[in-house]
Formats: sequence, structure tokens, C-alpha cells
Amino acid sequence: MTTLTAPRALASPRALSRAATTRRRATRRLGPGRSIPGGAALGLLALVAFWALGSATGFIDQRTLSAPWTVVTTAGELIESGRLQENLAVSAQRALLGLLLGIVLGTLLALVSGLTRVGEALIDGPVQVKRAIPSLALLPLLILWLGIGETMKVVTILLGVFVPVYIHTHNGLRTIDARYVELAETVGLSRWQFVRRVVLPGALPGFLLGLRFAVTGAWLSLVVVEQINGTAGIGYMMELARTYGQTEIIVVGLVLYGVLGFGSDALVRLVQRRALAWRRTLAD
Amino acid sequence: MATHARGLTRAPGIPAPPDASEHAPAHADGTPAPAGPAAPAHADGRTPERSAVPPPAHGALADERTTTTDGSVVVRHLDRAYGLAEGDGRVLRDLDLTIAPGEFVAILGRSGSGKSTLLRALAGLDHDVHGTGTVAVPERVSVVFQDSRLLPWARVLDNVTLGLRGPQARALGRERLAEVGLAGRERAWPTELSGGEQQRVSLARSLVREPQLLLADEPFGALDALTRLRMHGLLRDLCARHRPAVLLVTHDVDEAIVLAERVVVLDEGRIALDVPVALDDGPRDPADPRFAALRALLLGALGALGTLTPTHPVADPRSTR
Repeated sequence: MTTLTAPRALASPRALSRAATTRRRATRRLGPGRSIPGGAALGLLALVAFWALGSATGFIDQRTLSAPWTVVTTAGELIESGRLQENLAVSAQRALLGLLLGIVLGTLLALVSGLTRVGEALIDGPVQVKRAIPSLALLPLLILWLGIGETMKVVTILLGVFVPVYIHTHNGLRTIDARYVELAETVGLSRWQFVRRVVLPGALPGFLLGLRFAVTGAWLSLVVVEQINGTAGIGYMMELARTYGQTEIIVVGLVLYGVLGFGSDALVRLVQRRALAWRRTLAD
Repeated sequence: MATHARGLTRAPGIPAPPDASEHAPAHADGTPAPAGPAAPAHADGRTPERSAVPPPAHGALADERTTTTDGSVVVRHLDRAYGLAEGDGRVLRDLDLTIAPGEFVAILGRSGSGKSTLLRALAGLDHDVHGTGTVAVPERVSVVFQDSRLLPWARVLDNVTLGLRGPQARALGRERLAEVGLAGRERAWPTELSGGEQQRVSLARSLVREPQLLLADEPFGALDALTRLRMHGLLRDLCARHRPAVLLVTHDVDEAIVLAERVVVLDEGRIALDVPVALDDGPRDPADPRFAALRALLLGALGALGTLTPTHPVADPRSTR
């Protein structure tokens, strides 16, 4: 630190008064600035604070939206009776199964479509059409085909998940620099080695972005399929609460969906930071 | 790379000759067609019309590629054409070149003279070019590009051992990294290295394969002068130790003289000059009169003396670079 103070003592008074400016220069000038500790939670905390304040002052009617503390106590009761865990387990299983199958399907299709001309000709078109059709619109058909059981629910989630994974992985794969392909040829990589050492890591940024969409998409699809016809799950619990007019249980379900979606997205972002440690980007 | 990219977009603009067969039609200029079915004739001196371009409509490469066992390079009647290049589109014209095992050859030439095209032909990287000829290269060929071309998502050692198998690959990779002075940086990401260090990793990656032929396409072109001098010394030492045949493409006359045993000057796709560097082994002194004489000869062959200073004698040939 002594080395820092010496030039400052020598500097002109004008420069001294600009100490704040000099300090800010520690980060990139055109970057978004210094990272805020716990930054990801700040917006959420503000939202909860607004909610609590509104409920306490009566600005938000208890019949419209239960107060945060009511939601917390209701959640406590639901956990005590075991209803919440039970329904959450069912929901999580559906979402995870659909998510996993969707990721595998999306990645495989992206690889086949990105690495072979035949695959691209056969796969890309149908996927783009599927992309234009919302999963919701497919639901009547899926119910006719697969019934109202678990299969229909998992397939609906899968269909919502595989599209973003496919789109982003395919894009990441197709935009791998041709120079690396040339390099792979000169060092004599086999096709499999090329996929493993160049294609997959090169497409990883795209894949992880697709994964972020996919994870939140899985929870969204879950809401839809659980409220349409279910005998268990968070959506079912909320649907039941609606018929009895239990706003607080509905809000518990909503908060749960939010927490799950936000949590899983944060998880993917963590994975993203770890897996893409080699990148130098604006955010660094 | 620019010419190469042009080769890709060539097809729509160029009307194919009515009888566009797979091979170039032989010109009736009297010279007997050289051996092999795929040898287009010369267009000596004159520049023919664009419609006389040899390439077939689909741009197929009709090379005969063979492998030499003794580590030598033999190129015969090599023709390469990009549809949109100047004149008849040919970048290499009936080029013959032989490189002995372990020989260090530098290729000099102005931009567009075909030196990179020649290197890409030897490396087997020109899929999108028209051309014919016979190319015989050793089995193990390594390429050093102008950019270090390290995979940014692989650590330094993984970049060096890229595509190698077997338990000793990593040990060999470490050894080569130590040889280029990067011991201890095995776990670094390529973006954490300086440009010179990245190029040294790229050298290690080429040498870990024990190449019989090392193809280097202006490998030091993107480096600053001081780093380049150090890299010259490094490359000379490494080549002395591993003894690959080297084809170094460069536009730097001094670099060619300092490093090579033989300098070949390309001009418009032909060999304009092919001279041995009759200087002592080891560090070569630019102040040596033989060095200066060779430089003047090479610059003359490159046309630098004539075109840039038409009336005044050149005091320092380096200024014309």
C-alpha cells in the first residue's frame, strides 16, 4: 500500500480530489461495474419487502393476497401435516424426469442435426415447427393419445424442455469456429474425438443457456399439467385450495414454484460459471 | 485466408465452360501434357480469358496423394485455382518442389503468390479449391498456424496432447512444454498466456507428434519483433533436436535467411528462385556480407527492389518490406 500512497502525495490537489474516480477505475471502464455481494437476492428481497409492507399497511387486501407471515405459517402447517412434502415429491419427480429426458433428447437431436447433413434435413424443420406450437396447444392431443396419467404429464414437460436445449445447443455447435475444425483435421482427430474435444466443449455455452430456459420451462409446464388433471402435486394442492377459497395455500404453491424455478436457475448459473471458467467475458 | 474464403463463394459467379469436364482441358500450346491424367497445360506469359479457367463446375480436387516413407516431400505438377483469383484464377501453376528429409525450406513470396496455398495443399487442408497434381508427404505432418489456434476450453497440456492416446502422451506433452520453456504452465488456460507463450504452446503441440514434416504458415507474423527473435532461436533449436523437414511460409526475408537451409521464392504460382543458404550453422549475423548479398538477391526476386524504388538505389533493403 505504501507504493500507492507515494504517487498520491506527489500528485496535484486536483488529482487528490478525484480519489473516488481513481478507485472506480479498478474495474473495467465499459463493464457493468463491480459485482454486488449477494446481488442475485437483492431484487427478490425488495419484492418480499414490498409485499410485507403492503400487507401490513392494508394496501394489499388479505382476501386478494395473503400476507407473507400467513403464507409462512400455512406452509408450516402443511409441512407438519405432511401434505407439502408429499405433493412436492410428486411434482419434483415429474419435473426432473421430464427435464432429464428433454435434455437428453434435445442434446441428441442437436448433435445429429448439427453434425450430419441428413440429420439437419430431417430434424431441424420439425423441431422449428414444434417450437411454434405451444405445449399447451398440444395438451388435448396428448391427453387423447396418452391418457391423463403420469406419461402424459412427463411427455408434456419433455416437449417443453427439449426445444430450448435443441435450439441453443445446435446454435452453439454450428457457430464453432471453422479454424478449430481445421486444427482437428491437422492433428488427426477421429470423429468421436472431434465431438468430445471440440464440438461438445464448443457447444457448451449454448447448451447451458438452453438449459436455463429448459429448467424454468419444466416448472412452467408442470404447473399446467398438474392443474388440468391430477391427484397429487403442488398444482393439485393449489387447485384444491381454489375450490375451498384458501388463498394462502395457493400463495404457498406459487411461492414454492417461484423458489424452485429461481433455485434451479441459480444452480444452472453456478454450473455455467464453473464449466465456462476458460471464458473472458464482459461479466468477468 | 481471404483467398480461401473467396474460393468458397466462387461457384455462382463463374459460368462453367460448356464442356466442363472433371479435369482442365489441355491447352494447345505445344507442350506435351505431363504424366498423369490431371495435368493442365500452362498459360505461359499471357493471361487468358476468365472462361478459360480450368476448374470444373463442382470444384473437385483431383490430387494424387501418396505417403513417403523416408520423410521427404515430393510435389509434382501442382495446380491450384480459386475461381475468383486474378487472371485465369490459378494460384499455383505446375509447381514442382522436393524437400529432403530433415531439410528446412523457407517459402517467400508476396501476398497472393500462392505460398499459403502450397502449404495448405501439403497439409491436405484445401477441400474447397480446384486443382490437380501429385503430392507425396510423410505420414506424420504437423501444422503451425499464424494464430496459435489453441482450444480456449482446454488447458495448456490438454491442448498439447490433443488427439494423442496412450499413457505416455501426457508425459511427452509435459516434456515438450518444458522444451519450449513453459514447464509449470500445464494447468493454465490459453487466455491466460501471452501471444508469444500461446505460439510456443502451439509449437509444443506440433512437436509432441514427432512430425517428419512441420508446416508453418507465418507462425511468428502476429508477434512483436523481440518475441519473434526469441522464437527464431527456439524454433532453430527445436528443429535441430527433432530434425523434421520444415516448410516455413513467411513474408519476412530476414526470417527466411536466419532460419532456413534453402529459400524458395514464389511468384505468381511459380518458383522464381530456389537458393541454398550458404551461411554458417548457428546464429546467423545480418551484418555478414553473404547475408546482405542473399537478402538483396531475395528482395530482387520478390520484385521489391524494382517496384518500390525504381530510380534510387536501396540503402536499407529492410525498409522496402
